[in-house]
This record gives sequence, C-alpha cells and structure tokens, in this order.
Amino acid sequence: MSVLDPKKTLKNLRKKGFVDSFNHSKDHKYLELFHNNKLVCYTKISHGNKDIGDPLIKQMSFQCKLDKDEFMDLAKCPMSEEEYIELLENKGYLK
Amino acid sequence: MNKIDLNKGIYLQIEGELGKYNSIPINFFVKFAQEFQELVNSIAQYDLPSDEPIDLANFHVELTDFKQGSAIPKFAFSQRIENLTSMHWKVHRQKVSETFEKLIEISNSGDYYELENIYPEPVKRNPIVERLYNFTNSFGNSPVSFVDFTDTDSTPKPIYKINRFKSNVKQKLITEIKEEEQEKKKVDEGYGKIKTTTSKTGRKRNQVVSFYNKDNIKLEFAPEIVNTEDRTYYLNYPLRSLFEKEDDFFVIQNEMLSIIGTGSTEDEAEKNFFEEFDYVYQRFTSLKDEHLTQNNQFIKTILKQIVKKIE
Repeated sequence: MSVLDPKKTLKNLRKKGFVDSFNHSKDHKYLELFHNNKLVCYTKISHGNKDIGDPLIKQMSFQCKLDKDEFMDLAKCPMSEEEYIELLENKGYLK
Repeated sequence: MNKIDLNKGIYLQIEGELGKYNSIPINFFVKFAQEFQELVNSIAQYDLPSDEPIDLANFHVELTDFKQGSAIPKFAFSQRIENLTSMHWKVHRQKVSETFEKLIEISNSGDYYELENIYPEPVKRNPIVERLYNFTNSFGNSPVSFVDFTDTDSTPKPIYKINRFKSNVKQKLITEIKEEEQEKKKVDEGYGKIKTTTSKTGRKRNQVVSFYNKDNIKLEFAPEIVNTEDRTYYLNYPLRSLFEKEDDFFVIQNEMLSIIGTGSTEDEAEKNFFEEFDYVYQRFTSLKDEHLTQNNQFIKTILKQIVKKIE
C-alpha cells in the first residue's frame, strides 16, 4: 500500500506547474495544469492531514496522465516539471 | 451359484397390508420400483470398475411378470436393444446382479454393518447405504421377500427376506466425506451474474448464475443520470464506463472522457465518479476551445452531446 502526505504532495504539484482551480469540493481541492495557455489536465487532492491512500493515488495518477510509479515520482519530487512536460508531450497530451 | 439373477428376472413377494388384495397400489409400486432402480443404478455407478465407461441406460429394470399369492411382481434388466451401449454391458450387468444379490443377502441376515466390510471407502459406501436403506424401507411394514417358483409348483419359494434397515444403523454407516482439497482451499476472486428471486413473504434469495474470473472481466457501469449535490445531469444515452475492483478499492473509469472515480466502497467510487463528471463538464464548458488541448476539446464536444439537460 502506498501513501502520500497531502500537504507535501500539494506543494510538490504546485512546484511542477499545477495551479489551484476556482472549482473545489467540500473535501477536495482541484489543481489544473496549463501549457501554452491550454488546460492539459487536472487533478484533485484531499483537504486536511489525512494521508493520501491507494484509491486517490490511482485517481490522481490517471488524471495526471501518468502511471502510478511516474505519479509517485512527480508527487515526491524526483520528476521535475520539465521532465513531466516532456513526458506529456511524448504521450501526445500537449497538442 | 446365484440364487437371484437380474438378467433372468427376480420375483419380489409383498405380503401383509400392502399385498393382501393380490394387487399393489400404484403409488406404492412407483415408489419402491423407483428405489429399486436407484439401488441398481448406484451399484453400477459405484461398484463397477471406474476405468471403464458406464452407461446407466444399460441397467434399466422393467416389470416383466406379476403373480398373485399376495403380490409378486417380477423385475429384470430391460431387453430393449436401444438401451444397450458399450461392449461390456453383459459383463457389467452380471456384476451388478451379483452385487445386488450380495446386498440382499445382507438384508436377509439383518446385519447391515457388514456393508462397512464390503465397502470400506465412504465414497462408495455412502450412496449404496442410502439407496439400500431407501429400497428396503419403501414397503412400509409389509413383509417382503425375494422368491422363486419351480416348474412344477406355483407356490412361491422364499430365497431372501428383506429385513428392516434401521435409521440409526444407517447413520452409523454413513461417513462424512471431507475432501482433501478443502484443506488446501484456493480462493479465486471474480464477478458474478446474480439472479435474485423474491418469495411471496418478501424473502430474497440470490443465486450466482455466472461467475467471471477477476482477471478476465471488467464490469460495465452505465448511468443515464448523473447525480451530484449541486446538479443532476440527464444523459441522452448511458455513459458506458468500466467498473472494476482493485486490491481493496473500487474504480469506475471512462477512458473516452478521461474521467475516473475511486473509493473504498462501490457507492463511494460512484459518488466520486459523478463529482468528477460534474467538474469536467463545468470546467471544460466554461473554457473556450482555444484554452483547451485537442484532447480536451474532444472531451468537451462529447460531453455536450451526451448531456440532454441539467437540473
């Protein structure tokens, strides 16, 4: 089972180019990634201090167009913003 | 030398209340004839060599004669040629007849515990005991014997008497079979097609009609209405999505719209999926196409086509 710290994950995703969305729910905050002024993808992260568990990790990975290992790298920092953008480019999501 | 032979036919004399009018009530006849056939079948099934194909049709028994003097029906293996298959039917019939006689000898002695010596393996003994018990008890309290007639004498000559097979004796002879496999239980997870029937009293009974291994199947989730706290979306056609269970949570996913919902329960995953649908619809339709990637423009177009109305 994998877990992520929500505050660190939020901070790291912001570092990778994600910005807060105007839309949000009671329990979650939405983050969006724009490239060349175009919305590429979005994800949501839980409010509060409760660790992010497997269900939300699965959801966030899918929304960020990554597999689980790639997403863990993105959320924990080894993957830089440039590397992430390159990966999205290679997968064809930036057109 | 065999005293009774199912190939030639065997007479069964039923006396007492049941046979006192030199006739047999149909309902009793049907019952014990069926038990007789079942006993013969179980001998064929469990007593013949297991490496040879056995066709139970070869062991059909028929009523071939009826004599009075109480009620004395005669039974024999069917002579109908259409019932006979395999090369060994004659040998098999002979063996079944001999075993049948052995069982009747035991009944004659009244020592049913002898069955344990003949059939030490419960897997064979249990069905034979059950069938023999049913057969010997299918005549109620009426005395029953296997009899024969000589060419010169029409008086039935007793051969074997059927003694009562007591229920407590039967219970002692039946052994619970625990298969070795039960100890090495293999657990497979999967999905089932469940048929639910509701009785008149409202009691529900679920029956698994089909089972699909988890590795081979993903189930469909196809809502026509998407409900969120703020809005209800009515769709033009079902939103066909995949529903699957991962290790300990549920996932609903629509690849075409890039929408995913997860949760530790099905309901949670559904609620989450609907929230995502709402977010994507509201957000994508609020942005001009020039602010969306090609992929997201496509999703926006599809969403507009799917949604009939929003309340």
